[in-house]
Amino acid sequence: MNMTHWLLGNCYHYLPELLAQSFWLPAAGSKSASNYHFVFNLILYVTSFFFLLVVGLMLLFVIKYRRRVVGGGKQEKAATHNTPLEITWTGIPLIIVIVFFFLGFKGFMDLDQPPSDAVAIDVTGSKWAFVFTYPNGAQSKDLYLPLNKPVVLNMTATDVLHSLYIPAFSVQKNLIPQQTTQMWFQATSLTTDDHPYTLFCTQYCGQGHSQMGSGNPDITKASFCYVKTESDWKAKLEELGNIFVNPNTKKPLPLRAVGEKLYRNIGCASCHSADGSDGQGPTYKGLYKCDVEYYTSDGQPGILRKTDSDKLWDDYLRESVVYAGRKIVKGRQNVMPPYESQFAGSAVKERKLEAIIEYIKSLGPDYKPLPDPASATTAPAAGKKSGAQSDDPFVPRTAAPPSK
Amino acid sequence: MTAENPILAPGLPALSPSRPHPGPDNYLTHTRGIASWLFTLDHKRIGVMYLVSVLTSFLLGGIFALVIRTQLLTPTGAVFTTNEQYDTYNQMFTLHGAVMIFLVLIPGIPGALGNFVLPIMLGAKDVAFPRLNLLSFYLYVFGALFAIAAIIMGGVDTGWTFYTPYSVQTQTAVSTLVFGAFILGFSSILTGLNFIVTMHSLRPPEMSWFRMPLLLWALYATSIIQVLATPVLGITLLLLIFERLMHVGFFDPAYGGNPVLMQHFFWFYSHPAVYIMILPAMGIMSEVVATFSRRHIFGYRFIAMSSIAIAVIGFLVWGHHMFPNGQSAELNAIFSFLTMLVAIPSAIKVWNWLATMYKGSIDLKTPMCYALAFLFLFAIGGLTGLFLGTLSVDIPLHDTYFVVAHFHYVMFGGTIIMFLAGIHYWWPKITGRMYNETLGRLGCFLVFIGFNLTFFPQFIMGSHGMARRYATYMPQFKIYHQLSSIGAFLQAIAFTMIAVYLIHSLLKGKKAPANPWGSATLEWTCTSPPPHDNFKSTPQVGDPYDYTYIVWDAQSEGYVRVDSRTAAVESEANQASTH
Repeated sequence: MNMTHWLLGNCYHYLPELLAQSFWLPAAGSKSASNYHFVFNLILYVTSFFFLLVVGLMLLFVIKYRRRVVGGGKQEKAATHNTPLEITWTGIPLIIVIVFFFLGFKGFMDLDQPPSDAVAIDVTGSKWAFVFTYPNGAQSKDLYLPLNKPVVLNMTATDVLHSLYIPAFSVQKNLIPQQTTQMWFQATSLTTDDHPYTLFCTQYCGQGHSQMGSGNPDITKASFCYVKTESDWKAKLEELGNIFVNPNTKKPLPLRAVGEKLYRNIGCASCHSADGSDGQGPTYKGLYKCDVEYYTSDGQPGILRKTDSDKLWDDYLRESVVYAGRKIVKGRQNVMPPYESQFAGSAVKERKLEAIIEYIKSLGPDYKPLPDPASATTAPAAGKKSGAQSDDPFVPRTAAPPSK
Repeated sequence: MTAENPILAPGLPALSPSRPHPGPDNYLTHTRGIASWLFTLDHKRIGVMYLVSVLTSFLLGGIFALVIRTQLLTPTGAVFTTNEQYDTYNQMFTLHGAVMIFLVLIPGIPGALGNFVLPIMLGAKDVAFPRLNLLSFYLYVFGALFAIAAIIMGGVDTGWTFYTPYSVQTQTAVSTLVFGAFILGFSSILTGLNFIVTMHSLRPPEMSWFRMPLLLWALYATSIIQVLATPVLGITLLLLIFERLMHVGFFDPAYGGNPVLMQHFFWFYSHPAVYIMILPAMGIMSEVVATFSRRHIFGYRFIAMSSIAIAVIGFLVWGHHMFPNGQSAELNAIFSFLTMLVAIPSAIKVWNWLATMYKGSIDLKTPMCYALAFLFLFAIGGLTGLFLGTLSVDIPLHDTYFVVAHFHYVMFGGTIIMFLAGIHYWWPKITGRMYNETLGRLGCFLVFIGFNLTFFPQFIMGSHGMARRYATYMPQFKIYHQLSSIGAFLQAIAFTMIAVYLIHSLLKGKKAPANPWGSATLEWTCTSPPPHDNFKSTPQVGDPYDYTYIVWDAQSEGYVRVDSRTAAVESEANQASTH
């Protein structure tokens, strides 16, 4: 009696845990992933049973009732129908699939409504990078998460459909242009910097589809998901947020270095290389002041020469970063989405645009670095009204670097 | 006439087993010359022309598949390694999907085998509208030419699903391929319409609905879907072309459209379309399993009605292709529930096929080997569908290789395997020749092994997070991809072997008897190959699965139908001799 009770009790206790371990699935990294593992394995065991039953019966019949005489001899008289049997083998699977349905539905509803205290992170998918924007305005190509806190991702796309899939959390949702979709989860174990979680785009989006997310063989371009303790996470966000300063010395960074950071964090690097190698877009190396042939969005050809003025080149670069579709380099397709939301609308965003352009210039010929703002002792926040700064939640905390 | 075919004159006594001899006049020799084929109204010749076209398309789609699998031999890609080359890879999987779906799976069994056997099984001389039938074939050819034109114009890189807004924005030959699919849709609608009318109006007096062979029930259910669902795809594809050419905003947010609407339209057709593909395969299964078990099909009415149930419920499950696209939880719940329900009729069929084998006399001829392979593979394909129908489990498996594997287990393990079974089953009837049985079984075995090696590893990598439509992948998935590619190469060898022995059979094969397998359906009462008009007079219709009076005749190496009185006498004599 006690024994039975003990067995039952233990089964009830351990069964979900037993079912949650599997050769079939990656380690569960979130609460919902554990639930998913349980349902997946339950279905796996039940369907395996039925598969073995079908194939077992099939093999048994093939062996037992194999044809022994040429032509098969006289036909056996056997029943051609049996209604109770039909009802049985209709009813049992029906009950089983309805149980599956309810388990799946329950798990889905838990995934559907984020808790009200969830940390909100914005996700933008573009060809071919994800950009994660944190509550403090920091942006990065990698997803940084706090441990054991619910996180909700508000997701959208700028060009075509994408889908963010994080296997360890067993979550996936589409990113749709001009719509916002939500996905939430709660990470339950830390990752190390060497072994982050992977994330992928699962909605086919063109040439760079397999390079979007962790699939990029170039580790400096690939995005991953890092789970950190809350204090480490906050520190990381702080570091990512203050792109204009050196995180160690707290001194302002040269504009070129700021541009390079942006280049790595907001998705430029996924298509444009900095070392001259091929990418979905033109490489930044030697881009500034080369002869560039282009065609406009209505098909008119044009050319910008290395001898053209700094002003023309500046305008061209600005236009191409913010509205890439207006002038497309000859031989390329119009695939780059507009980046207005990143670079237009506030003084800080303008400053970021300047930084990116400075970075592109630095990879061109005859680059003369700007004076290092960190070495200038009296770094005046020239032209930057404090009022303009407070409009934006993401404000460089130290002094903004001086404009030229 | 009676000597040729005793069945046609039931009133006359047949005192000894009389066997039909292949007469000099059959549908192949009835008229001669290219024009007699190109302008034929004979459903059998149209069926053969479909068969040749579909197999050619299968070769094309198969080559694309081999390119894909070769690319995925190494994580960074063994063939396409630069960004421009990834475009070519994307075209390969798009064309593989589009060719296999629109040119092979959908028209395959109904167009090729259905056209050939449906009227004869029914006891009719042809389909209801022979000219429409020929038109439907030429629409198929025309649509296929558009597809080939799209390939020559530089291919298409959208995936066979043509999802917007990518399909609106890409500069590849989307409009051409989409227009080809639009034309192919008409071919499919006309075939469906023709079959429905034929089954309603050309049944001989004794052929009641419940005396129809189960393949006909399956084709009837298929035709309903073809007629009702295909127009939705047609108009969707036209809207897509309008949007591409004239920037009318239907599906692209850039022009004020909604991409999710396109997905609803697309899957409203394309989910029922997978039943267009699998139902005829299930119909062939019912024929093959009963014939080679020499046992009356078990649960005839349940199998017949489950085909209709699949056709009806199949219309209501399309939303399960969109679980992670942000649609409301209520909608997801309803689609998940209905998806679960559609699994039940398939389960009913599987149990009934197994029950048919019980106490049978199972002959492992090539078509039956394929039928057993089908049971194995379709069981996996169907049961893995339960993972994907379960909402919370689908979310992390959606758009991974798990789905790719599930789909191929159903569409290849189901439809293509039964298409092969059907080709081998009716080969003697279509060509009048037998093929090498040993090579036939070996071919089946190699396809079975190659198939599992290709697609089973894809379940594992899918559940581990390998997303689909990737030109490159993370090294952790390498072993699964390599096994998969080896399996694909093995299949290529198997299919080459099958092609070789079938061509050899055409040229040098042994003459086929009228009824080599001992089936009781009407097409086997005709000579092999059948005469031009199928039946000289209205055939006598009986139970299509009663094998009591179909007996082996060693002299002709086939089965012959004996009169009931003769059978009674023989059976008494047999009993007397055994006692």
